[in-house]
Amino acid sequence: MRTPPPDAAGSPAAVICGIGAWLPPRIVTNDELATRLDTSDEWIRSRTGIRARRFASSREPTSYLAAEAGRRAMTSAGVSDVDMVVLATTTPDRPCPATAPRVADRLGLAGCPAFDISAVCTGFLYALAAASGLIAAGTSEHILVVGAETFSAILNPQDRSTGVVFGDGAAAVVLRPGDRQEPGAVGRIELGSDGSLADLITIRAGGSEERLSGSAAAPSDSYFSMRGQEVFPHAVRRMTEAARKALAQVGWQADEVDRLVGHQANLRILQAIGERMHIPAERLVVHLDQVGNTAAASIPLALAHAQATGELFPGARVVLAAFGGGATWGAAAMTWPALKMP
Amino acid sequence: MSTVSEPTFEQLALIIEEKIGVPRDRVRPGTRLKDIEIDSLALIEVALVAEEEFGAEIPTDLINLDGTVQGLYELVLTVVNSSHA
Repeated sequence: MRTPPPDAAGSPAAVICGIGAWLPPRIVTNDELATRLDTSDEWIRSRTGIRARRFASSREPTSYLAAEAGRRAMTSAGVSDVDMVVLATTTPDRPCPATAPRVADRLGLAGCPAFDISAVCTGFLYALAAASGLIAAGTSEHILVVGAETFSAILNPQDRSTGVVFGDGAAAVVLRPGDRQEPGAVGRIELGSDGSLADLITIRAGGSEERLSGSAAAPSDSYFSMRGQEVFPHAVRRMTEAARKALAQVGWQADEVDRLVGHQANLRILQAIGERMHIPAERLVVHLDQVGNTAAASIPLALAHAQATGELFPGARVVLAAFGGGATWGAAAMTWPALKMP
Repeated sequence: MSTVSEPTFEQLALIIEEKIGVPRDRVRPGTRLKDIEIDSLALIEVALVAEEEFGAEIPTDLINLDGTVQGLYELVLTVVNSSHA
């Protein structure tokens, strides 16, 4: 176990003090997808646990969703201003520039520093880690950390395997400086990556590897693709391994965990992790049935959902875990704070 | 020298019964995986339980959905024996 740096005791911890979420209003059911993809509601539900998802319109790019969620998170935190915006997303408004400055602009945060984090489904945990460091260093005080996606914009219309899984949405938290013993303190986040798995979750074309000009890429290369069956075992192993490390870091046993908030990729992945960790099924937060896999927005949306339903309560011992494109993975353990939701 | 005993066919059959809900008496070496209605994700789920129980990572990409339970057992055996060698 790594020891904390010598001055860590004097550094402020990042504490969650607000949460908000926003879903595009358009609901897309499994039955609707079955009219244009060779699938059925029963197949989708049995294989993934998903019943419906949200699709943003062309007037709702990622920055729009992120700003809506961010506004609600700031209201929840009781702040009208933040001094940093960190956006985790796989679906920026444009490949260049980053989307976070646009989010800050939409929120009326003139001059506010802002940057994107790109770690697909692990993005929110990477963003929390980065934001925590900024607060500990004294670079920022109030940070808006957002996970936002418009996956509907990058899905291959002929690919059933991704077409039934992914959805759109955004959620955010506000972090403030505080004490590392406080409920809501983020603490150390376990993170990892394996670049040899880049092909498992990818959009191949449009970057420096497979350029838009020159030799023609296959049309499907411009769309998102995922090799789900190969991802499944990696996700279970890495999320379990990272969650176990996070628990060891805070000294909790599995039966002391009140809620496991896993990246909402597939219900069967969440169940396999719960079984490996001996965390009872009723302690798994499940949100994917309503929103599908929302990649970087998945964990903050699940947190906001559980906050609203009361599954998350002040003092709850929570473990977050994710696995995503990169491949990347991460986990964190924290005690949930008392929050107000608008 | 390994102190972990070799996995038995019975242990694998029990995992299949618990994970998939297929009765033990329907799982024989020659039983085709497709005949006990295991979908590809369920096979991976069985392999993940087996690797926790037997302590060796099972390469799920080597699982043959068109094969038999015996084939799955032999894969588990090979992996476990080579990891404990």
